[in-house]
Amino acid sequence: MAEPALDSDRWAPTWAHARALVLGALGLVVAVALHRPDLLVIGTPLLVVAVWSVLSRPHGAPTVAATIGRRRLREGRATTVQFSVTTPVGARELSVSSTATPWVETRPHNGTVIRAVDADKPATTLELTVRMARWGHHVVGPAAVGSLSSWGAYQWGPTMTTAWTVEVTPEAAVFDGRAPMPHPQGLVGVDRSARPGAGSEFASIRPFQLGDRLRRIHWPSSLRSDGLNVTATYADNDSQVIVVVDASNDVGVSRGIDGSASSLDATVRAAAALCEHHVRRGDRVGLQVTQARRPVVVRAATGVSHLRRMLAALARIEAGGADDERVDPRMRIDAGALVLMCSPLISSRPMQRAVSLTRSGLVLVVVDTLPHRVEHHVDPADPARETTELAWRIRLLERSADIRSVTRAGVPVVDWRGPGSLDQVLRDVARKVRAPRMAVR
Amino acid sequence: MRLPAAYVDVSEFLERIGTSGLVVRGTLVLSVAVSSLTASALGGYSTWLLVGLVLLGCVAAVVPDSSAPLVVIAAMCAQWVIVVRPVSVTWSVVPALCVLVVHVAAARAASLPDHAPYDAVLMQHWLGQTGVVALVTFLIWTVVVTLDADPAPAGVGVTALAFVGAAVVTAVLAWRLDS
Repeated sequence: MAEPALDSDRWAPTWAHARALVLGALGLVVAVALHRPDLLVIGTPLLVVAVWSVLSRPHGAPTVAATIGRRRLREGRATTVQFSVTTPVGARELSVSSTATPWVETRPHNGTVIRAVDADKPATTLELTVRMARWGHHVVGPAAVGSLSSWGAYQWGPTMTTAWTVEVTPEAAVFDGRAPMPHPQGLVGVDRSARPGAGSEFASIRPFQLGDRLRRIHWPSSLRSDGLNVTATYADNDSQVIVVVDASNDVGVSRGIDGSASSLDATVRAAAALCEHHVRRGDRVGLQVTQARRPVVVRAATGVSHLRRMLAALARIEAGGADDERVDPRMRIDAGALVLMCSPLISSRPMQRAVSLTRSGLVLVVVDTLPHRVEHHVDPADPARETTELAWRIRLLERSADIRSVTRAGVPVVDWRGPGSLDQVLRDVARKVRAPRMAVR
Repeated sequence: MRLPAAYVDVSEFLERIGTSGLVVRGTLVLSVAVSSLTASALGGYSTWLLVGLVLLGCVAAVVPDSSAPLVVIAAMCAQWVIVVRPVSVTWSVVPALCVLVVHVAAARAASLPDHAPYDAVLMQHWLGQTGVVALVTFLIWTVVVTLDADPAPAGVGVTALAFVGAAVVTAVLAWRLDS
C-alpha cells in the first residue's frame, strides 16, 4: 500500500483507507466489548470515512493522452504539454509530476499539477508549460500521472508517459550590419558588384550604346551635349558568407538565456545572429562547425528553410571534439566568400586556422566571442579557487598576446558586441581587397 | 562554510512539501496536541505523554504514507481510554473530531505529490467532505449523549447497532450526493 501501484489497470487501496477501515472497526468492537460509548463516538468518523470510501471506489482504468505543443522552439520560448485523462466514476483528483530535466523550466514550478476531476466533461485536461532555457536538444518528461478516489482511499498509478525531445535553436543575439560585402560574386542580391551591370547603384554617365534601355537615358546631360547619354550602374550581386564556429571548448558556467553565458553559448548565439542577418539580406550563407564532437558542414544556400537548417545544426553542437588534421586547410570554402569565424580564441588551434585561411587568400574576420565576464565552476570553499583564478588570468594574458600576433599576421579580430560589431572591420576589409596583394596558393 | 547536513535535509523536505503540505502536516500535529491536552484535562496531566504523542504526530507528519498515522490515532485512543476517569461521553466529541482531522490530514499529506501547488477547488472538496463527516459524528455524539443520560439506557450493543446503521445510511446518502 505504501508503494505506488504500477499496474495501470488497478486501483490500489492506500494506507489511509486501511487505517480508516482497521481503526473504525476496532473502535466499534472495543466499544462494545468494554461497554464504552465514548469509543463509539471516537470511532465514528473513521467508520464513516471507510464506508464512504468503499462505496465510492472507482472501477476501470483511466486513459491518458499526452501531447506536446511544439517540438522545435527558439531559446527562451515556451510550449505546452497537455495531459488529457479520461477517468471512471469515483475518481476525484488527478496529479501530474514531470521529471526535472536540465534546461527545461516548468510552470507551475517543479512541474507538478494537481486538479479535481471535471465530472461534467468526458476527459480532464491538465496543462504544464515548459520553457527552454538554453539551446540544444532537451528532453521534456517523462511525467508521472496518478489519480485518487474520495478520501485518498484508492490510488491509480502513477503511470509514466513518454518523454519528448525538443530541438531548441539558439536565440540569435541582436545584430545588424550596414557595411558592404568585400566582393560579392553571385547573380542577384543587395550588394554592389565591382563590375558595371543592371542594378540600382549609380556608377557613371556614358554615351548611349546599342542595346541600352531607353529608360536609362539621362536627359539632363543629353540636352547639354550632342548625343544621348545613359546612366550606368553597378550590378547588384549577392555574396557568399561562411560562418565558421569554433566548438573546441566550452569555458564558463552557462545559466541559460536569462543568466550568464558560457563561451560556447556566446559563440553559438553570435553565429545564429550572423546566419540570420545574412540570410535576411539575401546572401548565400554556409556554416561550418569545427572541433565539435560531430563536425557539421552546411553548404551555402539562401532562404528561410536554409536558415532553419543552420539553426538546427547549431543546436546540435557539443563542444570538445578532436581536431581532425586531415581537414582541408581551405575548408572547401569558395574563393571570394567572406568567412566569419566565431571563436572565443581560448585555444591556439582556431587562431592558426584563421591565419592559414587568410594566407590562402580568403577574406576572413575573426569574431571574438569570449564573454566579458566568465563564471567558472569553482566552489567558493575550495582552497584551490585562488589558483584557478590565477591560472585563468595568466591564460587571458597569453590569449591577448596570441590575438596581437594573429592581428599582425593580417587577420582582423573584432569583439562581438552585437549590432554594428562588424561594420568597421568589413569596410576596412573591403578597402584592403581592392588593393594589390600577395597570396600563398 | 558548509551548512549542517540535518539543516539541509530539513530545508529540502520543507521545500519539497511546499506551503500547503506544511499547513496540512501542521494541522495533523496540532490535532494530536489538542486531543492529548483534552485527555490530560479530564484525567491526569503528563508532560512526557504529551511530548511523546506530539513527537509521534511529527513522525506521522513526516511519513504520512505509512503506518505512523495509524499508530498515532491508536495512541490517542489509548490515552483516552487509560487516562480519562471517569468515562466522559460528553467530551468524547473532541478526540473524535481530532481523530478525524488527523486521519484526513495524513490522507491529504500522503496524496499530495512533491512540490504540489495549492489548489482551491480540491481544498474545498476535502474540507466539504470532512465537514459532512464531522456533522455525522456530531449527530452520533448527540444520540450517544442522550442515551447515556437516559435513566433506563439501552445496552451498548443496541447503541452500537443503531450507530452502525446510522453511519451506513449517512455514508450511502453522502456518496450518492457526492457522485
